[in-house]
Amino acid sequence: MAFTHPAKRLKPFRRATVIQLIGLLLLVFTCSYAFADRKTAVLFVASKSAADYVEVLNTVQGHLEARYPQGYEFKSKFRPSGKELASDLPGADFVVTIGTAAADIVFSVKPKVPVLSVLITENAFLALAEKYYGSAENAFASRVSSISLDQPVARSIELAKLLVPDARDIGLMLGPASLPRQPELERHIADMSLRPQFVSISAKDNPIHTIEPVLRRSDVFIPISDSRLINIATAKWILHLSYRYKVPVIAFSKSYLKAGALAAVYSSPADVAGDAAEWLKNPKSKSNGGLYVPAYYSLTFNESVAANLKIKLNAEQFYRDQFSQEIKQ
Amino acid sequence: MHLPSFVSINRLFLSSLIIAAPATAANGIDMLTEDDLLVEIPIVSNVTHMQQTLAQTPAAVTIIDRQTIQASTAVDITDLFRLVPGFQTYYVNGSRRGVTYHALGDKYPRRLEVKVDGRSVYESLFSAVTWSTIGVELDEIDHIEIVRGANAAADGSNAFLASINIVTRSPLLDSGLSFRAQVGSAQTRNAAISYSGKVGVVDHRTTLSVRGNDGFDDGTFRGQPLAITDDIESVSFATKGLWTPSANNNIEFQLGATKSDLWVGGRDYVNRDMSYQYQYVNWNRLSEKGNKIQLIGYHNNLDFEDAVIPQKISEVLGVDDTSPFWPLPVPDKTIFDGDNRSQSERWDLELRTSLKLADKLRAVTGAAVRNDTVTSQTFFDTPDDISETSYRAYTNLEWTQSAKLVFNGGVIVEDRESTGTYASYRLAENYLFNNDHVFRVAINRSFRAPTLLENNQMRLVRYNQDLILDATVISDLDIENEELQSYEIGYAGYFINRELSLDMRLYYEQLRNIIDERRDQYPDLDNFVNIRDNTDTQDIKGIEIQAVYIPSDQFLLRGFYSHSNISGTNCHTSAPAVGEPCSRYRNLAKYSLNNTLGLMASYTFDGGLRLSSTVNHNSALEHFRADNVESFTRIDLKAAKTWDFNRSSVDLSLTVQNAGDPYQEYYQFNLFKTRYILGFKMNFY
Repeated sequence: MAFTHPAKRLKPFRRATVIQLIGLLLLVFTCSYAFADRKTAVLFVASKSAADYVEVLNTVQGHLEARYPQGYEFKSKFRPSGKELASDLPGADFVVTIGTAAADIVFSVKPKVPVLSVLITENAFLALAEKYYGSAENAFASRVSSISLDQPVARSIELAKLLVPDARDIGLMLGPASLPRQPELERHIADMSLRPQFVSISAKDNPIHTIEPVLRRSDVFIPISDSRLINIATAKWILHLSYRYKVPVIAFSKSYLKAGALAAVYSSPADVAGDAAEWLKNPKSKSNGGLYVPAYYSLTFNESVAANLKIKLNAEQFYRDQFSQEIKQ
Repeated sequence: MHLPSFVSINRLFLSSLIIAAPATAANGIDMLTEDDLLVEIPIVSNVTHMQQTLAQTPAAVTIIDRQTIQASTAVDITDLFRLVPGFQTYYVNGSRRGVTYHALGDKYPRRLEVKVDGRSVYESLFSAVTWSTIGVELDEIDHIEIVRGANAAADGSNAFLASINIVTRSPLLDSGLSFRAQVGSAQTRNAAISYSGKVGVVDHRTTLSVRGNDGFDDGTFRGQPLAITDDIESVSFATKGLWTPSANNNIEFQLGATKSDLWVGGRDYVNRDMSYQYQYVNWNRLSEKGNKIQLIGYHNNLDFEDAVIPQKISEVLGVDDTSPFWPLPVPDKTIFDGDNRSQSERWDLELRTSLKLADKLRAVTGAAVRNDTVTSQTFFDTPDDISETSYRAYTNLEWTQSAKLVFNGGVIVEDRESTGTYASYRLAENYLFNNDHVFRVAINRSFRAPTLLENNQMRLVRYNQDLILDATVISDLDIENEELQSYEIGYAGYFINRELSLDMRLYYEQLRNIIDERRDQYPDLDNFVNIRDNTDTQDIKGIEIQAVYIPSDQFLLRGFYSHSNISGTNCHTSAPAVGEPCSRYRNLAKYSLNNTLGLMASYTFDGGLRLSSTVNHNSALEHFRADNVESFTRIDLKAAKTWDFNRSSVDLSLTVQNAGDPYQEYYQFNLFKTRYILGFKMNFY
């Protein structure tokens, strides 16, 4: 057996350690360099290439590029197939779905990365979350989030109170999809010392005969967004009756406003994009999923209708400033 | 940073929604998508029968809205068309108005479809619209959509150069009793009483109105005094009903009748007793996805009798039958003593569907059948009915290729007993430079079939079945469809936060086979007759500019300028032999209304007083088959004020039409002098 001097024995050990340390340092250095240079990859999946969807997508990109010029890289897909999506997902750090159909496609593959769904109603998000994740809570646990397209009715109610300070009776139309909101709405309206006047309508009801008695005794009327059929089928009659009885209508879309409502609170594509960009910029928002109300909103008025109703309008900012803290942006 | 968050109000709603969502799913209700929330509420529908915004339409559109109507100095519906570029509005006489677009304006202007709530009021018997019988009060109009340019691809044959849809107010908009009256110059005497309310499940507005005026003052013709008897008195009844049995079904119906006593003609006037009635029903059904199906049916009936005074031939000729100059081989007798009653009837049934075929593709498709029947011994030299059934099927597609490009394509196939099957089409591309600037290019190929009058006219004065004393107008046996090929470049722009809108249209319209009259020899007393035939060719070029500025609800400014040039010919006299070219042509350029300008301004003061003015300038014009009229500038003024009381309101107005020197309307002896009209309105809610 050969005797070896301890020092000599140490030499190869030291050499290997040094080499390993150098290797480790190199690895750390190259990795950190690589990580430091790597941009956050955002995959946009949109339902279609229609104007609103493209505007949301471009505006989010614009916001992020302006704030972090080298921080993000973007990929956009318009209603991709499952296979196409599967090939794009591995490179993504975040997925942003724009529209219900896009959320449907993305949720179906359950991505491992955080997902944000925008341009989607609360109703649609919850239905899809249940369909693919079993429940909204499960979806949140899988880091799936949504910023709903529909504005909280509270904004419309407070706006109604500001536009018609003497109002006592607030009429609200609910359809089959929005009917479950009634108890909560009732409580909220009562909290504001107002009297709620509800009318629920289904496709089988005579809309004029159902809506007219409630609208007539209301000081302000708020149709709650429902299915397309209910929205289209009732809008014309609501606006006509509102003209007849001089009852202002607070609407949920710009189109409704143009057709004859006094005011509208709604999410424009720019608002949706603003909310989405804020979410992406905030690291805390990705650790857990959630369903968020939109912080941004558009507030517009129809001056002709205001003149007809003899309502004096203030500047938009006045109403924003007057909103209670909890519903302010 | 404004991170969206669970604010308390949202927790409130969310808690219920999380519970509610499975319930709604279990109930089988479709989830709400962004399409439900972003759904478009209809804005313009007349162009393609599709609900489109002005940026999407394939043609130039002028909308005369309620605000404009109320602020305007109009006393009659036709006055409103003085605000539309390219339109000519004139009085043929006090009882008859003419409205035309681009084409030569004659006594019976054709080539313009006019509808009231989708019901065509164009009369086959006159090949024109009888504005005095349509029975629509200015106060009952919600808005008027005017498609400037051919709209045959959607509206069929008669929307050859333009199309007008007068949309009346929904019965839901008003309640209670309304009384309106106007009195003033030219013995203007208009009054109406209407009631809006409910009968069982039907909401309705019912109106009874009387209108009358004495027309133009007596004038002179070739230096001689001329008694102008052109007054009109009419009584109308109209009711519009609405029944909405369910959210996705609604049925609208209308009934109306007008009885008029009027004088017609130019220089020689004849009393006419006219009755008009209509019935209309429109059933709308919405699908879950927002698609729509419509069934529209209506019936119009016009009946009139002219009080022609029987005369002896000798009185007409000024020669006694015993004179050697008596031109006939038969003795004198009384003529014009036959049946002077005429009737025109229309039945129309149309099925229309509006579908969203794909995300970017929408379509309106329809099929319709129409029956027109006319009866007139005077016009057709027969006591028998003349009838024609026509069929039409159309589709109009809108393809939003991208956020910047919208394509519209429409085609209509029509089939008539007289002219067979033919197709008109339109192609248009709208380029949205951005939301505020839209450029449009469009081409149209349209056909207009001859009306029953144009196809069958046989206006004769007979001695008996064998002897014709005078043939006035006879229709050629093989009149063909009129043809139009048109090209346009349009621009719609919005400025100053959309307070100012600008609309420009540059167009070139080639009209061929235009139906008019040519003179031919005929073996009657004057040895000639006018043959109705395809005699004219016209090329019309021009530009239209329209601007609307509404900086606030108190101020409204509308203006337009239109320049057009007609070049073309009319075959004035037939060729000596069949197959040879026309022997004498008439140049149509001089009949072109080259320049029109209009400006309307209205301001409402805080106290409710509204002042309005309208300025119209027309360049000099030689009316086709009428007189040269000089250029004129007409200024109208109006002051109106409304007082609101508890559950009632009173409105007083004073309108001054043509606050300046008289100008000529159609005939040189029709002098439109300053007219003062006092208006009064009371509403009880």
